[in-house]
Amino acid sequence: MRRAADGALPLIAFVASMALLIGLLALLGYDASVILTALWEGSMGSPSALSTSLGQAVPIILTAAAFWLTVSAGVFNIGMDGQLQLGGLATLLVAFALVGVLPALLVIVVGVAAGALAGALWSALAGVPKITRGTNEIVSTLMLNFVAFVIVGEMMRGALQSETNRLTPQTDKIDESLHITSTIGGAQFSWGIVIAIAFTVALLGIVLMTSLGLRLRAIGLNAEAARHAAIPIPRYWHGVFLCAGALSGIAGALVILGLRFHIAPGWAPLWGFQGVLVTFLALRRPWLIPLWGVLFGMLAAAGPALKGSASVPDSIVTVMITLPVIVLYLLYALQREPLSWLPRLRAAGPSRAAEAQDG
Amino acid sequence: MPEVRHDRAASRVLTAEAITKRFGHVEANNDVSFSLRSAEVHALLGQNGAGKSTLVGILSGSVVPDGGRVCVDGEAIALGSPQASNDAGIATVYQDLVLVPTMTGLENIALALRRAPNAATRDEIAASAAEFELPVNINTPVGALGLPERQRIELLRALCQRPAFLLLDEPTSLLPPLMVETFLGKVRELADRQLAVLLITHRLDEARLIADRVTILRDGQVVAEFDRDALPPNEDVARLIVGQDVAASAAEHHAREHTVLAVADLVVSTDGRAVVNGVSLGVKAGEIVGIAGVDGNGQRELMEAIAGLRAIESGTVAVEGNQIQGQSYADCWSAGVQFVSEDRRREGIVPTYSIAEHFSITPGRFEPAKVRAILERYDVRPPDPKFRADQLSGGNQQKMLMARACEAGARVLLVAYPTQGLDVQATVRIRDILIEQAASGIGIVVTSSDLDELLAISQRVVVMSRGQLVGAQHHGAFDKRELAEWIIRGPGGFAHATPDLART
Repeated sequence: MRRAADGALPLIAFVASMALLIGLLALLGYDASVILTALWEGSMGSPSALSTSLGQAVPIILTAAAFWLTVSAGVFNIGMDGQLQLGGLATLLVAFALVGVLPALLVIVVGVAAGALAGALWSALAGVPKITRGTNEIVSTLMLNFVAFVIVGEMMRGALQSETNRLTPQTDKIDESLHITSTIGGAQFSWGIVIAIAFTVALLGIVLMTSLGLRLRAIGLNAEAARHAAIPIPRYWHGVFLCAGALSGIAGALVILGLRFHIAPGWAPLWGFQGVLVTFLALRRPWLIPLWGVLFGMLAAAGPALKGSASVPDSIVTVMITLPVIVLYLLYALQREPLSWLPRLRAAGPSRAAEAQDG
Repeated sequence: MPEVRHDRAASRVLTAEAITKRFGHVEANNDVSFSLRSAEVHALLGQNGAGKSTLVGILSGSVVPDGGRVCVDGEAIALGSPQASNDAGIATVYQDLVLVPTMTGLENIALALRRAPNAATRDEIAASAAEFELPVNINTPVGALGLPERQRIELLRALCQRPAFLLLDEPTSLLPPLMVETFLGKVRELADRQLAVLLITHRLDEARLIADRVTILRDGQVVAEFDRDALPPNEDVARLIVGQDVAASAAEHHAREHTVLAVADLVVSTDGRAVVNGVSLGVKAGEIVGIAGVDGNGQRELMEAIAGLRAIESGTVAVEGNQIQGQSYADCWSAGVQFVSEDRRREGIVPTYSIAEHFSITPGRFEPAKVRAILERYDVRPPDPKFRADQLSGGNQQKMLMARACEAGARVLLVAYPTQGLDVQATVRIRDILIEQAASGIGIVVTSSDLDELLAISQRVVVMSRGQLVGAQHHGAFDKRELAEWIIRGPGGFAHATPDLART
């Protein structure tokens, strides 16, 4: 009973916050039916809308998996966005360097591996000082994001600036032979979604179902107990930082190969933070990470339609994806101690009486 | 005579009447009556777990007693309310310093006084510091200060509240020996200024040095109260502190010639302080060595260092002749060194994990089928590998963790406070397990603050004090009074002959 409620709470939170938001917009004079139509049309209304939804879901699912992995082991790597962008950059460089040299499929594989490697190294840059010197990984991974953004931005404007299109800062596109897309119903669908879900399911399987994962989660649940069970925590944490970075790097690789094909301003919105939100929504049901990822991808895809046909401000989409998490944690808090302020007031009673006596 | 500064302090008295407090099945305080008067230092002596800190908690309002009254000048005060105790003029300096390390002394004291950390407060604190002759730096974050100065700030913080009654909970436990004397001199001075001081300590020499009255607690009860002049010799006081009954040892001599653990000149430091200071210890196969002493004298650090859970500064640790110092616990585990912590909740149990999962996360790779048989052998109830370990009773958790350590191919078993917080039945079972394991040829080191327990199971008892081993006795020649004296005196007692500070 309680377990069932546990699983349904995120969904309840999601639906409730959507209803709340649309209700508020209706009060402000927007037409609720137009908003709902735009949400539908933008995310699933056409093959191209659906392909955008799934394409956006790829980096969200993979960064959510990366974040979930670190949280399971008791560390908080929130540097997915920087790792993703550097992964994408590495893939792009491999694509430019090796196209025509190696068969296309091999270039794709090497490109994805390069993306994984770049993400892993960037993650280790925060992980090694955390593990050996105890620096705060939340701060270092967050800050390294901005360093990565600058590196990618400078490469885009400098060494990799497109020769054929010098008007705006952007890189050349990768060769079409390297696109991991198939045309269905007139829209290009990225195979990235299949790869992302495969990696995520494999990760979930390892962490939730093997003895390696059992030790890993023991560290996250009680690091001291894990230490006293002779689990070599530093070794596990190094592995976690590398794997999480690699997953984010792969996300960047798949974005380049299946969605964007080049680097241009705004090519990678903060998917990593959406991954964090997905992780929180799926924390008690981690197998649902891919589904939540797709849902968030749909919201991201519907953004332009909302702005266009419903004339709703941009920022509403941001509110749409963050509000469910806030509502969910309110629900968890209520579930844990329903209206705990009542007994607390009562406990405060005697000491107040004592004060009155003394005064 | 110093002039009387506290106008309220003319002559006040704090009394505890028939205080009773139980934690689970442990009687921490059982019908404790006690009084504290202005201008005296009243020392409260007792072993760990005798109920001293509980009594302080009740007087200061942080612990709610099950029965009894606390009165100030004959009037009962509200129980379990720090505010009420504070208003009645009671200030406490706790055993663990409770200053905020990133705040300056000024901010810390202002916080306690509920004042702004402004110039007026600063002047007032400076005036108090001068008055009580407590030289302190209140402009530096206290985390950057040395322990003695932090303690002076803590003391000043209590004194700034202008208390009539000052409770000091083991104030000297963190100080180096030379500083202890200075500190005690200061405490004596405060009493001479009409303050009523309660000094919690387990060191008899400290009480002898400055106390006007001494009350001895054992197992939650007051067993004796002496005026300064009537205080019997050390050995008699020691006997009162630890109790008379020496339990007959159940341990037989299983010790063999073969040494399984050899520790030589081990030094372990934390924050630049040598908490283990040159310990050498050998343990033979089949031997149980008990390490006696007051908590916090390095026993815990010694064990963790042997197991590879704590960095070693110098010295060697050898198991079966192979040196293992500097290796991780995982490697030490494989070499046959297992450590069982007393803090089962924090350092043993992984929330939501089953018993079987607690076995399988260790390097030993227990076969699931074998776990049930192990659980039955060690009398873990229920012996169901799928049962959630965090839902076991404390005794069964301890049995499970002992089983995990022993069955992992232990050569050396290190156990801290093996029966802490357990009921009688579980205690007996755990002691049996230790004796059985020794009989099978494992070398065992046990620390406990319960001397009777160590005497009941050990072939040898060594006393650890301030990071050093100060004495050893063998089974058959146990002398509890001598051990107790070693425990409360420490290495060499005070370094210098000190003039009698009482009654200047």
